[in-house]
Amino acid sequence: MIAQLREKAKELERREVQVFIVEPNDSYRLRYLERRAGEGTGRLQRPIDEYTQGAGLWLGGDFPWPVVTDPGSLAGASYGVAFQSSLDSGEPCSRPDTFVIDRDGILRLVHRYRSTDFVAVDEITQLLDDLDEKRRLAGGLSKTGTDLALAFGDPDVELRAGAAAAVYWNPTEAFVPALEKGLGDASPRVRRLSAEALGRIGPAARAAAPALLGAILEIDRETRSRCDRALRAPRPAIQAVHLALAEELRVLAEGFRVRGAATEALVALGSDAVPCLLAALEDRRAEVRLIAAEILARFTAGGESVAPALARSVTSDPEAVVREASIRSLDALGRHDRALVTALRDPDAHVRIAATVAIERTGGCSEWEAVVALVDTLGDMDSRVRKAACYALTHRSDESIPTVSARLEDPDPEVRARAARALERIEACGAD
Amino acid sequence: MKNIVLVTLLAAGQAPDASSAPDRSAALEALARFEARDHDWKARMEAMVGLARRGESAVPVLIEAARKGSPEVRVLAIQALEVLGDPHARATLLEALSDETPTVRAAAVRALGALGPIDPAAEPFRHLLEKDPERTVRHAAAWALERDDGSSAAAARREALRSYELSRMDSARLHEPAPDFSLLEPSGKVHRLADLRGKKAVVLEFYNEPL
Repeated sequence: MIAQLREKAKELERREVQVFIVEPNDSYRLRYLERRAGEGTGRLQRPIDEYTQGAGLWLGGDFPWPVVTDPGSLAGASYGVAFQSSLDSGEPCSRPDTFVIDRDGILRLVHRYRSTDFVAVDEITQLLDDLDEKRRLAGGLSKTGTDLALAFGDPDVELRAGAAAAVYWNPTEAFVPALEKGLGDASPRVRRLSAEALGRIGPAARAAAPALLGAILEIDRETRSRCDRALRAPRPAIQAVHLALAEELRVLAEGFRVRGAATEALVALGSDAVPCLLAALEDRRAEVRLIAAEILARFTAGGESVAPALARSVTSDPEAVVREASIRSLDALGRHDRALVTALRDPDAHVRIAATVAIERTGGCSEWEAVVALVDTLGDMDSRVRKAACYALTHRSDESIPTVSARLEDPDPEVRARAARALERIEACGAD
Repeated sequence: MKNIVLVTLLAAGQAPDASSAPDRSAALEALARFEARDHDWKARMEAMVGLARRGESAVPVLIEAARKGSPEVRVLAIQALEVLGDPHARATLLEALSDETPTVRAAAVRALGALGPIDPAAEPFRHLLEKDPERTVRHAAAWALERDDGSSAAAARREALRSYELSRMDSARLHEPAPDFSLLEPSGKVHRLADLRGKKAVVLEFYNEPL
């Protein structure tokens, strides 16, 4: 672990990047852990060691970055980090959070709830490389003295890329039509830079929403077609396969970067992008509906029409993969809906699993109908669905059991009997 | 519902204490706002900054809140008492060690650790450390016993909170100047963004594993 971190540290040091690990506890804990790390591994000597169990070892001399505390949680507060995690208070916590600030002191990357890859070196270096590239391209264009509007239509790809990069650094609404055109450029680099520039313009680039969605779709089509071709190809010599694969992967990687930039740009448009995505959710092509359902998960604010549209998709889309994506998006938005309960009877097992998980996470276990449906799901023909339902009901027993218990006093004897059976089944699955 | 705590505390305000009416009212208002906003982290931060600025005049209200508020308000009041470091709070904090809510007990033992060294042989601490049914409370007790910087750390946090401009809260925005920060190494070395500007890019990893 430490060896890997030291490799990452070397790479970042080479690029003059300073990393700080902000620890959620008070400084006295850090001092203690450092001291213990200095003492070597060890024996559990004091009551506190029951809880640290050697956790301080990584704070020892080999650890490559400063581990710092944030007195009063002021830095956390400024950066919007929900800071109470160490106080066991049950408050929401957004950690782990990652922020990347460029050399000019400008915030360039925000990742909340990052769950994997402690100090994501590849992503950080890619981001810094991209910024350098955009500086270089915009600078190159400026040196040529080419008019920016003309540069967008120049046959030289460097100038077209430079034009998009120049708008990235100086976002200007007037260039939205030129950037839209750039989304269809033959060069993936120009397409990506155009998407990034549109994202920087933000809601004022709302007219570009369909073109951004189109760029994502195009990449997906291309990816599918390349995969199909690769699968259908005859079997040449192994070296040729390697070369072909390397080239395919390079092109696909470029495509994914365009897709990522276009997705981020759509999100940056804010609620102005929602109508376009809602229309796409009704498209006759399943792949368009799928993309729309996935991206709508990112519209947590300003999209009151989003949840009802996703709920409609859950109950009426003919493609299981779209219904599943819509459920996951409702889950990501934290929106419980009756459509999730309906989806527990979906013919596709993956849809039923997604619905079970979403009901559990969006507070459905405090609703009688949802709990009854989950209890019924304990008898699902697919064992994965049964497991998911059992987990939902027992993991949320503080919600599901009171919800059912309240019905034990219902005036309707059938409801009382159903509640009693439901309680028995929840307890039985918890005991398994 | 949200105002029940405030009403209770206002009633408690009839008891004599050292704080003036405006101080009492400001401290109560900070707690009521925290309650009304479902105890979110921004409301907590605002309350902590407001209470740190009130200083010792907020202590009587916080003592009442630590006894009579909702569990969330009791935790906040105890945290504020920890930051203010007023020895008059000790009796209330000792009382809170047997609170029915684990988070309140954990906050209380931390606050007592911050007020000064704890005698590990003393009954309430030993009980908490060895017999409390909640692991997090035993954990908090263990750390409180280890603490070697109680009052000085609390004083540093108090000063930091007092000088914090609330307009800076949640002000970090993509593609805009990053808010300055002041982060502390255990050795006492301070790192500020302002010192690195123009020299290095910076990665902040807000780690998530309470040790």
